[in-house]
Amino acid sequence: MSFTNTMANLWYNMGFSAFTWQQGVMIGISLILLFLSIGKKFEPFLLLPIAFSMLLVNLPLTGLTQEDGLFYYLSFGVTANIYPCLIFLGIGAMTDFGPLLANPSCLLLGAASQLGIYVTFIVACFAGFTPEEAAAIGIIGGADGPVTIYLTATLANHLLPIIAVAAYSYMALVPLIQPPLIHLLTTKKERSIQMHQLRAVTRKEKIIFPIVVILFTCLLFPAIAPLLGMFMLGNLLRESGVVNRLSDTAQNSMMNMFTLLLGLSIGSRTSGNEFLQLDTLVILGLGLLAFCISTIGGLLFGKLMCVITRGKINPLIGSAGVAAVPMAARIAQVEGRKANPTNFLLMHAMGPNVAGVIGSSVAAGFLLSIFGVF
Amino acid sequence: MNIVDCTILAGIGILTVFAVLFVLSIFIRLISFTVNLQNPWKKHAKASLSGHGNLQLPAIPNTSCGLCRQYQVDDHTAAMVMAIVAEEMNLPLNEITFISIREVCLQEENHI
Repeated sequence: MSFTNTMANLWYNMGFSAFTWQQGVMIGISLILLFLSIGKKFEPFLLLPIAFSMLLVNLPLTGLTQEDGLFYYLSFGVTANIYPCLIFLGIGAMTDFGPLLANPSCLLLGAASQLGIYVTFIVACFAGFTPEEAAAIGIIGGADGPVTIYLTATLANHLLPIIAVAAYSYMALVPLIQPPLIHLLTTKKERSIQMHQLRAVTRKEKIIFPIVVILFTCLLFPAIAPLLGMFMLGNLLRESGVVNRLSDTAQNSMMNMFTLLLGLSIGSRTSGNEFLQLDTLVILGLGLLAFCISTIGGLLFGKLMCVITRGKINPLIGSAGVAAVPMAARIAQVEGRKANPTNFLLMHAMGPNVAGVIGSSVAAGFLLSIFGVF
Repeated sequence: MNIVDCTILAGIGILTVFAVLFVLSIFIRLISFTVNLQNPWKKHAKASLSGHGNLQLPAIPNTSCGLCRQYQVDDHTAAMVMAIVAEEMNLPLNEITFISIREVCLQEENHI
């Protein structure tokens, strides 16, 4: 073997020899996402692993996504919808349905906040996407990560990286997206409305509720059973009070593990050639539209409920109907406090917030049933 | 699928979500009604609420949150009291109902 051959082989096996401009752009994006997650703390638990695996897969010749590569096996958990379901188990274990059970009309606010899903579905169809792709884009409006990934992996797997990044980015940007819409659609008088303290909810109610939800919704939409089933199982682990160790594991260790795996898997699908297309920008725009319309839907329905109840419901809690838990509820609390310093809306806003999780699951179940995947 | 079909599908979709969640809200009311029907706590709570209602205490405007009345206690102190009670009872705050928080001065304590 001559010196020239050795040097040529060495060069061809170096990443520099196969580096493309698309990979350069993607590495740039991954660095921005790393900055946002570490420097600005925007959804760091998910954005950090996504950004880092985005960086890794866009380094040439690493073989990470090839058939025997690490990410090839890891991403199986997303394509087979394992990670979203198990993350929902953890979210269920962390969720307190108390505020929702104390004020069941919050469920309607959660329903109104799904408006963005369907409006965006129409717009996306009009923009030339297939109905399956349009459904996957629209679900961003539900502001629920696992539901978005579940539906997209099932209906439009090729759009998964773009839609997942868009969904989590907008969820991280809730504090920037929602306040202007809130100020646009509500008056200071409405925002300063104080709500009555919620009634106490018994343990029995909290135990019966997840079982009833599962029986009813999964008989209606069996397609959503894996996701909603895990969510309600997680909640039952928490509320039953007899399996504290399992509840603790679901809330902490398991949740952290699958969040990491999910982030790595999504990031591993963001290779430059697939990601850098015009469609990416269109999907990001449509995702923002979905998010805004969902917030508007919740706020307008909140205003309606405010009128019907003669001022007993603060319309702000409608904005928490998007399922970005608990960020959207915090925004309602912050804006309520700004209008009236003695206003405590957090627990009231948690009702529509968790209703939004159920609402987005129902919306996803409807779309899955219509497009005949199961 | 044309735009009309998409619109019809979307309309049915949002109506379905509303219908499902409305039915769930009815289920919640039924569960609450059934469970609280034989719940002695409720009667006890009602009795204790009415008992507090008879107290002649001075009302201070703009210092109350919901039904929790604060008497000569600022928001910060009230929040501290709530947090301490929750910690001592080992219960989350949303499971405790505070009817009123009032400052007990030393003179009153001596009377008691």
